Amino acid sequence: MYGIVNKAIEELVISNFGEDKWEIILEKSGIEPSFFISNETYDDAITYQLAQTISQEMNMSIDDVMIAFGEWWVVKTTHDKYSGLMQTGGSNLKQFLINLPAFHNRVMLHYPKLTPPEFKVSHIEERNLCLHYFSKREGLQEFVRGLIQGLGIIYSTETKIELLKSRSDGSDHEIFKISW
Amino acid sequence: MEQLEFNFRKDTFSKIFPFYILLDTNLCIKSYGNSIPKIIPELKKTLFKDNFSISRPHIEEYSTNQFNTIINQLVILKSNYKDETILRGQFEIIDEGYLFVGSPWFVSIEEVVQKNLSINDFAFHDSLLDILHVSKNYEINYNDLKELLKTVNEQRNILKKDKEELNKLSLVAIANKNGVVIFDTKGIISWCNDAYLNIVGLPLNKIIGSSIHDFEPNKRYNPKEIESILNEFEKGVIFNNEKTTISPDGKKIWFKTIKQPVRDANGKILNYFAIIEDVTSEKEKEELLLKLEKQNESLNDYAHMISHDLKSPLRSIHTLISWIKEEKDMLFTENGKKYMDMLIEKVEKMDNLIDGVLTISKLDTIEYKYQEVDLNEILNIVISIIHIPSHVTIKITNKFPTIYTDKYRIQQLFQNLISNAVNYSNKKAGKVTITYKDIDDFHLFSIKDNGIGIEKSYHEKIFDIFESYSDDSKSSGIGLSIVKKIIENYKGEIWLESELNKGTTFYFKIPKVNNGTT
Repeated sequence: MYGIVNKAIEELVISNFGEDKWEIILEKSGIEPSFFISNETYDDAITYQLAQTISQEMNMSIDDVMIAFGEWWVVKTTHDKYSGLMQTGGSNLKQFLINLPAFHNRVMLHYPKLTPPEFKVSHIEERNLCLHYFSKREGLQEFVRGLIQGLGIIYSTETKIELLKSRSDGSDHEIFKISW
Repeated sequence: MEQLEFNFRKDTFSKIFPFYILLDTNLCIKSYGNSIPKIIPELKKTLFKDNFSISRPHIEEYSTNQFNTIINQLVILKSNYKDETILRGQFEIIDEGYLFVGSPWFVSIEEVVQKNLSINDFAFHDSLLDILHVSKNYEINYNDLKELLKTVNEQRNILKKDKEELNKLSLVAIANKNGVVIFDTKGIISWCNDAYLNIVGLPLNKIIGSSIHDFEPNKRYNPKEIESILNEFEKGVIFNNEKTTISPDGKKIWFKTIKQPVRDANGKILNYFAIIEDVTSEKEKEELLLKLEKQNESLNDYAHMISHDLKSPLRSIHTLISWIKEEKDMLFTENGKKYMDMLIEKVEKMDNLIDGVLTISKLDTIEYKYQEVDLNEILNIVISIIHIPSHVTIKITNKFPTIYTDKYRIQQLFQNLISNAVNYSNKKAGKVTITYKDIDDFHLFSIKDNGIGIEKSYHEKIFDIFESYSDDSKSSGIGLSIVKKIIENYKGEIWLESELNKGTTFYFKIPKVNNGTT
């Protein structure tokens, strides 16, 4: 994962629980680096270990941690760092979701060391669509749910997210039905 | 080579080149791409030069001749409106006109947002947004590195301060006369001071990296014991113990050892440190004190036993002599009567002597009970219990203070001195004068008589036990020893002034602080 992901986790913990808690989480995670550089790549295990430790330390399920992190990623991290870029994605939730595949396909060029997920949209209706999520990484579907919830927050749109298909059910990718 | 001809519908062409501008032969804008109105809303289908200026390359005039010179070159256009929007691209001659294809030029994604452009306003092949994203990444990277530099500098300053503090502490540890040793939770020594080297008797290179358990005084641990101690180290247990060992020169040495963990801010054990103190001299003093206390106790027991055993037959002898004297009084010659009286006196003197010995032994064994004592009352009690012959008068010149003292001992003190003054009065009109003076930090008392006086050579000796200056058969030679001992216990002082056959004055002073005068 790129350092920006771990940095976002750090900011999420510090903003909500304070710097001391982050120090404890770093210590308990047993991970080596204490400073992440956004465009450096770090072992995926570090990110998973951090999420795991937050889950234990905050007495939250790992799914809840991933949802919280997904929301934070959209609402805070991308807003602070890629605000302009996000705005070029569209002026409302529907437009952004439709543009998401093209938007995300560009991202892989910017991050050559990334193993990027891929998005597709289908069944575009007036008030709902299906978002297809393809990833080689396991266990991030709740992170995607958090991302969608985060988009709902920044576009001030109430959203309903339904997981229609999942790799855990034998499908080769996740399909979220998003209604607003 | 096969000639290819491309024909596009206007919409399709606009999709591929959303920022195109088509000019006719009069250099008038004939058509433009779908995204152009977003960046230049004021654009009109009028002469090109009314809407744009060509920033690069330079042209003399806006004519087809001049336009032909800039074909095959990178062209920078600037709109003539307020925003001065810039487009970069190229002109091509098509049919009977000119086609400009290119993109707007933005240096930040914020400018894209300002123009209200979205991802859909750019052709997919247009890499402008990607370039801006890459540029944004560099900016983020730059900020990260700035933040990292700030953190590194802050940590460097903290480290510098810590190092200074550490230097001070290590100087203290090095100079410590106690052995100081630092080791990890596995017991492996990483640092020690010179005092520790002296205790262990080995050079530094034999100590560093070795186990603390190899140098325990007078103890060799087996692996099971070591494992148990290491478990305690892991838990951060504090060790406190005293051990003895034999020095190379055969001397017994006591060591007091404290081992405790050093923790970081989160309570994690970083390492352990031990302070090993040589407490031999304290231990020797403690042992000596215990020995002396034991001896003292034995001596007191012995004094009590002897006194009791001696007094009992003495009382019997006294009674028997009295009976003999009463029964055979008439049969004794004058000398015989005199010898009998002398015998009774000697027996009484011995009785006094034994009482004196008992009193002296009690002085040290009975605990002092401090209380407010009015010395005027004490003097009245003393005068009422001692025998004062009719020719002797006692005068108390002034009011005495109330002092914080032991009532039993202060009474004993005055009683012995006043009794002596009364007993050694050999004048027809004996006079005893008792005086008090308040002198700074001291109470000064004096007891003056007009009696026999004491020779100069006896002024010191007189306070020694069993030293009696007079031939008085009743004098035990103990009274003044008791007086001196009491005054010394109060950290006071006693001395005398005397002239033979004129009288003696005993002075003594006791400090106020020691006695808490009220």
